[in-house]
Amino acid sequence: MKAFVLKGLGIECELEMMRALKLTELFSEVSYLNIPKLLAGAENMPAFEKGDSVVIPGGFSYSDHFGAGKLLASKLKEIKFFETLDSKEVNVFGVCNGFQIMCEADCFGEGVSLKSNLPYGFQNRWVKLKSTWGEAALPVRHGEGRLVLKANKLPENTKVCLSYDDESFDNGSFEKIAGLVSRKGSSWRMGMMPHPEIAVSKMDHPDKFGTDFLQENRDRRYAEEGDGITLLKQIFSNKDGAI
Amino acid sequence: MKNFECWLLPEGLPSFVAGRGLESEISCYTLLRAQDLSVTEKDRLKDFLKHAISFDEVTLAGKEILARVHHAASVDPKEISLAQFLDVLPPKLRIESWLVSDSQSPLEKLKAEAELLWREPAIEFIWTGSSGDWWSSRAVLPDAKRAQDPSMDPVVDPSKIGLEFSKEELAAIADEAKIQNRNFTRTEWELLAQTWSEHCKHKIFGAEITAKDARLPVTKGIFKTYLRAPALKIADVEKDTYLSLFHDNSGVVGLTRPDGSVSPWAACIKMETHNSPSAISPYGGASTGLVGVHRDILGTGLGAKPIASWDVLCFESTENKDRRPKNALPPDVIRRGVIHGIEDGGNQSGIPTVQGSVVFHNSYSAKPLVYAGAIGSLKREDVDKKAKPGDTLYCVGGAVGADGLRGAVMSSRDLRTEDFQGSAVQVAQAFVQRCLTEFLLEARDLKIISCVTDNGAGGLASSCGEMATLTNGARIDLSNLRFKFRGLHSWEKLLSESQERMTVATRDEKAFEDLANAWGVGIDKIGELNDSKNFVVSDHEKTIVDLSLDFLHEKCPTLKLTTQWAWEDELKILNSEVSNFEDAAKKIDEFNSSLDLKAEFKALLNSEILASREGIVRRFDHEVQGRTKKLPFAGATQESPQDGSLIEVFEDEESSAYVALGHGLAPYRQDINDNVLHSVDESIRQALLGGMKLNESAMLDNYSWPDPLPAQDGQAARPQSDRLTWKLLRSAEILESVTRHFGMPFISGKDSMKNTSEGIDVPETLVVSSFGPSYSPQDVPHSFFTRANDVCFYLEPLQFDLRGSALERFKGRALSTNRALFDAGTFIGQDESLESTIATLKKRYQSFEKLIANGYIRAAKDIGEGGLLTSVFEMCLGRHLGMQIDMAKPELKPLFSEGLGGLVFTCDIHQIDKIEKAFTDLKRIGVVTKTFDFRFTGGEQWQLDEFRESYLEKTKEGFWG
Repeated sequence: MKAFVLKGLGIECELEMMRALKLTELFSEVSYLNIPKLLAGAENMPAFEKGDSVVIPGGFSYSDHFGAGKLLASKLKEIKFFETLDSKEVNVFGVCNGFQIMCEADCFGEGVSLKSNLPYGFQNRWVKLKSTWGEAALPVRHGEGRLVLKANKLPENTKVCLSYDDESFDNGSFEKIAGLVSRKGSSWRMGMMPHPEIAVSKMDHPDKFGTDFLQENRDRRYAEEGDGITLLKQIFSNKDGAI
Repeated sequence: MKNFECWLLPEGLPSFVAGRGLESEISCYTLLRAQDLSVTEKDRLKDFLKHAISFDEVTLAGKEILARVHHAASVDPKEISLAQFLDVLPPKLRIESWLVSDSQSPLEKLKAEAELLWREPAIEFIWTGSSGDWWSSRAVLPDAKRAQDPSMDPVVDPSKIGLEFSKEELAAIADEAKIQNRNFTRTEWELLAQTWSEHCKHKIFGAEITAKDARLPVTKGIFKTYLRAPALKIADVEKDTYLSLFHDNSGVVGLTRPDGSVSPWAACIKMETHNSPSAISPYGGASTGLVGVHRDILGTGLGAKPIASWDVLCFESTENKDRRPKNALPPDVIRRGVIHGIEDGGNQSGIPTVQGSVVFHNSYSAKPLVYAGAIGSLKREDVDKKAKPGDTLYCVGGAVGADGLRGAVMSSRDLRTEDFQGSAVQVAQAFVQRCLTEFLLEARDLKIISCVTDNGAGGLASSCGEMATLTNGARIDLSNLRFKFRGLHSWEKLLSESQERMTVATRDEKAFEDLANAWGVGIDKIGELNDSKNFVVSDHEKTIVDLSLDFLHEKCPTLKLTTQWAWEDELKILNSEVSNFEDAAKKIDEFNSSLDLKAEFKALLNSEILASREGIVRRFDHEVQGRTKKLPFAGATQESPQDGSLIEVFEDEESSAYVALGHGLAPYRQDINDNVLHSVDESIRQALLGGMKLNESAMLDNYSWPDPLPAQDGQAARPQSDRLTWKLLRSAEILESVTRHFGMPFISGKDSMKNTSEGIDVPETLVVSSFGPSYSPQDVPHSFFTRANDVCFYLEPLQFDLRGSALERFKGRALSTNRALFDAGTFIGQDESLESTIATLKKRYQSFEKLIANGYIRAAKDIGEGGLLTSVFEMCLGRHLGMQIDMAKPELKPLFSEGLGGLVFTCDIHQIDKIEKAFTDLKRIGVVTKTFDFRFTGGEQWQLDEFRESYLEKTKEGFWG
């Protein structure tokens, strides 16, 4: 199972995503997919195999001018990016801007969009989340994460997989939804606003940073995997279609 | 956005629209200024905008036409500016246009909404000032008609084209013209004005200073004597640590891992100010400042990757009742604009903003100060530039416009008195630079770059002119540049400061061009490096510049300044408030004992001096790249501000090192000794709390000084100029002493010397930043209490006093008769009190570093603004714990005083003996309690909930924008 991390045109989180994916130890290979080179025809689409995953990390693609994710989504549509992935039965996982791009490209069906937060503004803070796999604490870092659904209904085949469960954070998202998943044949598409790639160690959490008084405990806990890695493992190892 | 399909842009649009997003209203403005956009191009653009923005027109009862834009929240304000220019939207776009569909909203609500939504006062935009009045920020549109290109015109009198030179400089230029037997062209004069400006040449820091008084040393230049010489002395010995000082775009330090082993990676650091641009266009000025300093990192060695930023923002106090420059923007507009600029510049660049400071003072009405700093990572082997004659020069990145012309020249003057036409301020286009960065770093790794430098102030003139000195010559041709619009004059092409451009030298043209094409980054081949000893510029086969490098870079006459011993004058000013000592002491005592400390503390926490900065920090992405190992706010509540930053370097398997960063400033301290020593002490202390290894670390100095030059012809007299020069000298002496004691050299810095407007001087502001390799995150302390029953210790600040404290500033009156740091002021080498203070600090910090390295300190904070009580309060916030304070009842002096070297911390109970052994002056403040309150032994109890509310109020009410 290989993973390909999108890079370029304002995607920012590729380096830490690369690190996090390697830490899951689930992939035989993790490599970058340079979108500008792909768009310019300087590189070809890699030889995908069934079950591979493409990861779209967060960032500010095209500076998010005209709305988060809009321009890059239209560029990817131009080269029929998502259709190709579908035909090869490749999974797609988007985080933050990646999720926004996927929504703009109608990956979760029509009428699913991410709008400016209400209250308005960019927020960087760690939030508690609940998912189909349990609880987690991860950082959110976005200004446009308010999920809006046409007629307040999710399209068919699209399910909620992650929601905010934190009284100190509210971005106005419909039913506090933080992540969506949709199945397409044997492959899946998943998007989420919080950043799992940041929570590499237990100690990355703002309340856990070196709080233990005994050095051996601290060393041990530093080696313990963070919620983000746990979550990524759960997502990518999900063989029986629980997603 | 109604019609998504319209974003698939038609071919032939101006490059700043097609595929790149709209650059900024400034670009729109330059676009219009050119006025040679073809009719078809204009129509296409209009068409595109009509689809993009859905609106309807309403005529109000008055005559104004009102456009009501739908879905305003998802429309980029910049598009609206452009739409207005092209008459797609009526020019009088009123604030009501932000109404989405609810036209019944009361005006107040609309205003508030508009302020939230609008990111920048546009060309034709109406803001509400702090008074609630309408206020227009309309800039003047210059004459659109382009005159004949004057680039080749011989110029005899530069003042006729608006350029200023001193008499000495004019004489030096006349000499050179005589040797060449010709008059210099307009372009050459512009180039000289640029290269010899205070901004680029740092004439004041390099000036020969003659003392009118025997008590002062004569100096051949502040920079050379007090900063560079002591730094080089250290770097000569520690060659593996201090890899590059002062000569590159940033200073470079080699990294070691937490265990002490040498990493093949290095970190570079740089801080810049962008004060004048931020005074005129807060959003644009601040964003370009930040994105600009990232280019300094990118232009270091063969290219470094920016991995962290930090900012220091100095704003006019919101309660300023003093005289302010008549065209100064309202303080609210500046504050919000600057913060927005940093938010967009940093977040869209994908570089975390890991720490910062906000300081208020009435006199920042002259100019806000916007400092932006950045750290980069690069391999040790990439630290040296490898340019050779014959290398091809490329300009890469964005296209060239008329933006930023004469920026360096302008920033060296009092801007508001100029006939400012708007072209000096740009808006950052972080996206273009992001693409450029990815391309350049790959080119670096492929080893096809032999030299790279950024195009900042002075544009190509400056980058190519500097690079030429590496091989002793360069020839460039401007014919093939890409432009934002047609019709630029040759001198404008050379000097344009359009952002997001770098100049690169390469020996492998094909590989370089192919890679640029693959990344979709624009490149222009502009010439080559040679060893001709000259800098030659041509445009369409006409030579417009032909000057010798020696003349250009070495013949600018050294500025000569005089100064005199000013300590006695200073003391008189400092003491003016308490000059009648006996009586004053009594009055102060009376006043102090009348203070209700509980009420004062609560009000102080609510003031702009101490209020939580969370409202700013949350808007700056501080975790992107996954390196931030000490977050700016931490604890279960994420409310406790943390001291110092810890940044991970994990570029490859080999790197895995950490960098600690701290910074400090104390411009509100009037006594220059106090001011400078507090800045440098705070920066070291903060970095120490980020885990910095003292003996491998370095510092940065960033000065923003009021203009110390005596009045020129026709200007109002400046009697303070001698004193300002003396203070400059004095500050540098203190820095030299710190370098000597700590063994920490200054490796880079920047000085901005023209921070005066309409006779108002900003306070002398020195920002010192400390950074270096650090210990591992497991061992570095955080800054919040984690467990009840922990004993809390502190090391009392030296010179512990209410003088200059947050409470004193808040009350606006002296709370201490003592007004200066030291009784007497002698100069360095003979100033025992200064020397012994620095030596004591060093000893304290070294002991503290050892405790951190061993992992004994669990939570630690500096005793900074607000004093001991504020520090303890902030540590309680993380988990809503409290403290049983060893004090019968709250006392003013120990709880609110401030000083040098204060630290408060907790440790494990089993390690108390180790802590006690390390210090002879350790004190106990109390014990951490489970309840969220302060308890004094006499029974008084303060519930911290109300203090917390007061502390967070500004963040909640949106004071920070």
